[in-house]
Amino acid sequence: MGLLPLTRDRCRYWKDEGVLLGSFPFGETDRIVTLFTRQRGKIRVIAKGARKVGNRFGISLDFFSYSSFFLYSGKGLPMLIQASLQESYRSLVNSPRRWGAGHYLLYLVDRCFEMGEPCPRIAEEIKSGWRICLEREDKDIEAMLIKFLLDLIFYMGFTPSFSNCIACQKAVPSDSAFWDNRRGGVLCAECGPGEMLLPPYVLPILRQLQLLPLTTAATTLSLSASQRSFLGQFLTKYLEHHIGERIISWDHFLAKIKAIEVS
Amino acid sequence: MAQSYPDPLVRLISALSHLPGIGPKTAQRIAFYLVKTPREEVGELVAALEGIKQKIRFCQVCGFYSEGPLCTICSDQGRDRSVICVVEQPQDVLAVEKSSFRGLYHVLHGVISPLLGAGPEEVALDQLVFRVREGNIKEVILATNPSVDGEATALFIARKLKVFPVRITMIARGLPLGGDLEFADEATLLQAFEGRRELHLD
Repeated sequence: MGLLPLTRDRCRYWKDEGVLLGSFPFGETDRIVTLFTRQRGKIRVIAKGARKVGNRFGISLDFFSYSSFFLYSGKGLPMLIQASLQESYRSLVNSPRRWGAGHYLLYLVDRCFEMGEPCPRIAEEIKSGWRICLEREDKDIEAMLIKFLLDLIFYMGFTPSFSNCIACQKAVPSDSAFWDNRRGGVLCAECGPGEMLLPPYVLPILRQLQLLPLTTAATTLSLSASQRSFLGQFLTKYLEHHIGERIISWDHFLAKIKAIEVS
Repeated sequence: MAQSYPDPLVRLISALSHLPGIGPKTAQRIAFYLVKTPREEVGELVAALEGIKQKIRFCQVCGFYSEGPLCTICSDQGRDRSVICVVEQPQDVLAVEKSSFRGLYHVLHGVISPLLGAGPEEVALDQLVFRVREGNIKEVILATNPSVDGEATALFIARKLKVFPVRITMIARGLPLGGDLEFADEATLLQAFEGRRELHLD
């Protein structure tokens, strides 16, 4: 009797690609690393010998590296056998703000995704986000972070309604729109009183952002500092409500970074 | 099953399993071993544990382990007191000591990492600035780990110290000894090329 062919899920060895979300030392020379990969999403694996100088993983197992991985799942945690660097965005460390923004993308993904929830688009967007952090101005980076938050909401399945009232389905004008995190969207002037009244610029920006890809969103939209700050906190609160986890907004994250910039 | 063990044994297993790298099974194994160990040996272990809590503290100057206010390195007058090597953790001091470096140290006790919520105030940086300002320091060598956060912390320290008339250097990054060039990744090679040095054959 011949052996059954191994399916992707049953195969003990697999190839994947993604980024490092975090790590901590384990035993004498090993590390337990959290990766976000295209095929399996957030996974925790053991990297044997990763703390030794000249280890086989090198820069491919550090922050701001997009790498391909070769893994083995046996009993317990999967084991990282090989890792090779595909793209490095390491020069983000040269600017505290860019370094912080690069980390913030990882923080959001780590906070929002449960183990084993694949989302290849987000893995791709982290890369694009890092590229924007490297190449664009500070204001573009902040606009990118807002778009990233919006995409995160979309890919996690919590897309809110930005056009029609979630109670009566009527089109909502942007100058009299109310917002309800719990029901997930805008409310018209009749259904909304008692909820948060949105500033008039919010809905047009969010509708436009929904349509733009991450790479162009940053440069297409011209947002003031106060608008960027409001939108960032607004989307963070929405996401926080739906995933049930506390998320630090970019403004708070930035406060730590600013301490580095000023001193 | 652990509930049926006598209370002191349960407490010991629970206390041991809090140690890093020790899970419940290993904690149980160690606890059973200690039960069978002669009283004198256990007494020695207890005395050693008490000793580190009573006597070991961090050096007031560099942050390394010490028995008194100053560690053995800071109180050694034979060392070059114009050079400070900045490291992340106390155990890094022991690693650098294996080299020929005979200057002083400064232990940061961590790195700046936004992901871990560690800002500049979480690392022992003010003491370093104080030492550079007050002492007769000529060079500060940054020997943080070659990780992204380690490098970012080193750059931050360099920015912070640039107002002082000191030479700020960073330990070389690049290829480890004994490896093959063909297996080096591009980022490591790039750093190795950036840090290349002239050969002096005289």
